[in-house]
Amino acid sequence: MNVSIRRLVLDVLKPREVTIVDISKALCDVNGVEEVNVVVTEVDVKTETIRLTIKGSNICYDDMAKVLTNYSCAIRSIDEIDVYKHKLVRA
Amino acid sequence: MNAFDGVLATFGLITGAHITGNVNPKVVLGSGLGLALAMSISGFSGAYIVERVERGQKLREIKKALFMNIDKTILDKAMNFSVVLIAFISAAAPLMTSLLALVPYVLAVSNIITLIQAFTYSLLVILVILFTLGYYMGRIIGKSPLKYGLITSIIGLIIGLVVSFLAMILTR
Repeated sequence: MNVSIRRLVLDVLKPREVTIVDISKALCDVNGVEEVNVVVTEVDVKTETIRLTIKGSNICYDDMAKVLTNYSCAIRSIDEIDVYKHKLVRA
Repeated sequence: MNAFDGVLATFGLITGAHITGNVNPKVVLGSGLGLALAMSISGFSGAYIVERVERGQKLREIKKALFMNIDKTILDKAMNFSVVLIAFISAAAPLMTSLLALVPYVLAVSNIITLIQAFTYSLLVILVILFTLGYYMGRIIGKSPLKYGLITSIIGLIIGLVVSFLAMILTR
């Protein structure tokens, strides 16, 4: 049996120079991710707070964190998470 | 802006050389090339230093706002790339406009056209460049391009008159 993440809601702080289009595309490009939803919740002079909802069959949190760090984004908190147990599928 | 500086400096050099008399096209060409290179290197170093300081300050402010290290991230790399790109553009702009203004003197050195023809053609090239730069600036700021084209051309003519006047006083 294996435990995988299928939904992740993150509270992220990003610089205004980085667009949500670039971030969402980069996140959606990661293996195991099928859908990314971004909502800007707060706008500051230099930063923006965004609420990221990532959906997929097998989301790797470390990969998500790596992409966000690469785009100069700081993860403030993990607000919601959906995990499920499933049988390992061998090819 | 550096293109404007480059073309005006070349204009001053050519006008000054012709007003003082005994003009050798090789001397004008050599001085012009030296001037173009000096302006290009000055444009590169000036823009690089200023942009590096400005972008560095901006990155520090972002770091402070995010409470995280953003070295080697995409934003950091993009900012470094933009510094180098701006420096290269600042170097290429005066070099290109100066070289364009000097093309008639290359023809004069090769005995294809006379010195007076080279001077006339060079002035025409300079006025066209000045008008184009003004026209483009006018379009960018959303004002009358024609008006701005004429303003930059008039600035060129004023510089020509001032240089001629100074050169005449000095050679008396």
